Amino acid sequence: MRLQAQGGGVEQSVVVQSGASGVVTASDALHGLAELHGSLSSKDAAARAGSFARAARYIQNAAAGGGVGFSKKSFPAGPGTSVRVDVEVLRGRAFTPGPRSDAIVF
Amino acid sequence: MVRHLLADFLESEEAYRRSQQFWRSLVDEVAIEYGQQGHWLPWQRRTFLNGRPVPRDGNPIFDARCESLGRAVRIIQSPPESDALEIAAWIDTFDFSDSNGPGFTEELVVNLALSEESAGIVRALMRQWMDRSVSRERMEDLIAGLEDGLGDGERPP
Repeated sequence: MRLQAQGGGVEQSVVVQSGASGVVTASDALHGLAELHGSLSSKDAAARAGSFARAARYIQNAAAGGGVGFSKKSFPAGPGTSVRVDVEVLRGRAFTPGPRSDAIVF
Repeated sequence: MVRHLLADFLESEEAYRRSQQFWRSLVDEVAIEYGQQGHWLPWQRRTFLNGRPVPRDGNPIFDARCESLGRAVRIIQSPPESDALEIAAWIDTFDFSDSNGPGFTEELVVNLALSEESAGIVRALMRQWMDRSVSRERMEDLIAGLEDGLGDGERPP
């Protein structure tokens, strides 16, 4: 799965790739989200504070729902802006409940 | 100042349903103009893996994909935060064919507060997006022009 900070001249991404266990848990994804947040300048991170919060809530909701299959979600900073955080599940299942797995974040 | 529509859509199930129907009707109307009636179908899943519904939070309020065009549209609707025109758009791509999902797709994503004015802009964008002769690059130029014109928040559709 891929997490991206986009819009406003920013294009930064973090990939969370499942390991031998074949899963990406919600904990893995939240770790990746924190990595993405930390990779941004303080200004770009602040502009997306609400986006990161909503993306995290979505991942937690998905875990409560057993996870998701392929999907694409965008969390804009507000109406009428392209400043956002994107969450993309390309294949398999993601955001399953559980602790950190052997998924790799890079 | 814009004329907001269904601003209470997150507080009223009826307003939410009417918002969904608004976008369905708009896309269907434009599709008819291009001979694509019935071609634009929902593709995003409405439930998580255990069947629990995805929250009805306007994100997205509407999504549809046209298989023959390899194009999709996704509308993210939020309550208005001001009396100005609130709309942004971008083009994205995805390919979920490895997961038995939609194949390579270019997607027009619109993030807005619903108003008569923002809906007019979406209608104009969809008229371009459903025209297969209009390239992604041309769409991005149109969107850039839209953003350039939003400085005073009073751009007409």
